[in-house]
Amino acid sequence: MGKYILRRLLYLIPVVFGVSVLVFTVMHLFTSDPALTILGQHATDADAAALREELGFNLPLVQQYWNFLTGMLHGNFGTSLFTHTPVFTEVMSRFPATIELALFAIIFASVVGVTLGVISAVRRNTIFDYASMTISLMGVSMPIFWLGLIMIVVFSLKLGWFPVSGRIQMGYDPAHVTGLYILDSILTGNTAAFKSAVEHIILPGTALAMYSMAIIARMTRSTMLETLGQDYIRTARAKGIEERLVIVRHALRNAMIPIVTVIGLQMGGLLGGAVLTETVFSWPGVGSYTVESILKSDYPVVQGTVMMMSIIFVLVNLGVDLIYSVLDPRIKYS
Amino acid sequence: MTEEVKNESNEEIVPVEQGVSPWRDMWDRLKQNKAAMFGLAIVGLLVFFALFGKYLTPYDPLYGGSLKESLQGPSRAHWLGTDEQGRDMLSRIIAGAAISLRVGLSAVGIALSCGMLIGAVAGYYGGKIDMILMRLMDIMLAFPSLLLAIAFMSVLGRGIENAIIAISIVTIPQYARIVRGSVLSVKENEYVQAARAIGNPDWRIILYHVIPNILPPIIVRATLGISIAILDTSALGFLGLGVQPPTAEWGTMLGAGRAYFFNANHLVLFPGLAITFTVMAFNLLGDGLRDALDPRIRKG
Repeated sequence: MGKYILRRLLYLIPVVFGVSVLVFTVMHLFTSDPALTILGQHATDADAAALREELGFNLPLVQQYWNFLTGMLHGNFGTSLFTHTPVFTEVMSRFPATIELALFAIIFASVVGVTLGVISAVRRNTIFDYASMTISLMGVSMPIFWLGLIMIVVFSLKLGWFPVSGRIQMGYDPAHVTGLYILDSILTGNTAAFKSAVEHIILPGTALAMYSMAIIARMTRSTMLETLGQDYIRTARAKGIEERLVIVRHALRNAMIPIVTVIGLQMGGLLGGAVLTETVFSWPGVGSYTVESILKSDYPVVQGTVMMMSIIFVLVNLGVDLIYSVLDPRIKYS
Repeated sequence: MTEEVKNESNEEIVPVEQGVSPWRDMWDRLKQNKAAMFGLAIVGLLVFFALFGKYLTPYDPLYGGSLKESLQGPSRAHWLGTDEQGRDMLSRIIAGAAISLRVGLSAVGIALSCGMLIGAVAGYYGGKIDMILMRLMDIMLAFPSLLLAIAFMSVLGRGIENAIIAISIVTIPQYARIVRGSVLSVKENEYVQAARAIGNPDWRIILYHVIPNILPPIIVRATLGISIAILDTSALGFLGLGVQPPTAEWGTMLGAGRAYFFNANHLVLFPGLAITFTVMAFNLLGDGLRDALDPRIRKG
């Protein structure tokens, strides 16, 4: 197992290197002159040349890539063209918001998705099955940004149950421990902050979770149907074990491997989906920051955030792979 | 349908089932699936709107409005209301069908062609070529696909062609992987070895003997891929990075309507429903095709 983890970590090196080459090449070959982006189209040639020299954009591409790569290894992912703040600092300050949203979404998607899938499989071809699968079909078909807007209209504007946007009410921020507001408010015993943080995360978290929830429900249903047809389930029933226990302990536990695989794959997808949800709900995370940077043509920020997000994505996928071995001892890593 | 056949010694008559082509077989199975047929009907309607939409739209979808008529709710004159520039929403949604189909089909067509080439070469030749191509695909899969599409749009610039290119590029690895896996499973089959033994060049073997035999999983993936391409295009449009106004792309309409949706919900509601039904149709069709082509769930 230790050797496998080490091998997988070593394998990440060429992947991250390749990602850095791809991101750098795309950003430098196809973008307009960053000096003109900052100074505007009416800048004089002398001013633009001076700025290029100051920012290092006049160096040969290979040299620029080398600076980018070595900087990255030291935690320097570039500096914003407009705010002059380091990308790493900006991303890390927003990162807890994105992680909190993604974690809420994956927990919601897993709990609701697995429940719907199990109900569908156990009550196959009944009204419960049709209802669950219709919800799942809608979940994979609805654009999450549209769902978010509809939720705002219904639950915030018409019913007034939840706030329209933001992460927490002004002045309610809990003391910083992890940066995850819900967790921090629990750790510090701040109930007002907890209530506000939960109220704010429900709509964006649910909107972000819908697609993953639907995929998890569909996978759970098909895997459970396969498992429920196995001989050991018949044996368990023949032994007179309570049906609830047969489903949970015998069927669901054996169906978990493909379900966990799908949940893991969804975790990465949520990072992409967060870009849309954060934009709709003005959630102060990495996704909305990336979109703002793209709209402002702040290329170092786009380059840095895409690079950091892909590293996180790769690490999440590795983590999911490792969880399998805990869940299924039959998997041997060699 | 059966016919009587005599064996070599003419001693007994054996009833055998007359051969049915696999495609006919698939279609027969697909026809039994009501959900898939519902999806196919919606896709048919979309194709009809895409082809004949310009004769069906009650008003000019691009420049047909006046500000005096802006942000009106649904009425007899404008069944789905008007947008912020007074244009008829129904006309714009009908016109949007052509854009969504064009983007969906083009993006999947490009990604599928490139993915098929990469996957077939990697799977057929194996060895170092396979290793290099698949590591390249791994690198592209190291990005959340929507984020990568957004990054491409930021450098390619906005517009429908660039949206198609961005979405195609980010989905190539998914097709390459499926094709490679399928090629690996069929390349050692006897008919491929026979084709090689009679001296066919590799490209001919791949094109005429390998690819036709791996089409089912690819067709299923491509059908579902169209729905993902339509969703991604609408997401790019919504963020202001995709198809640009005044083109009636549903995601772009949603993005533009967002500023007014507090007092004119229909600007957000109807384009969203159009996207949802279109994506749902391709999902139902894709699921139906998968079931029809999956030998494990064939009856009898």
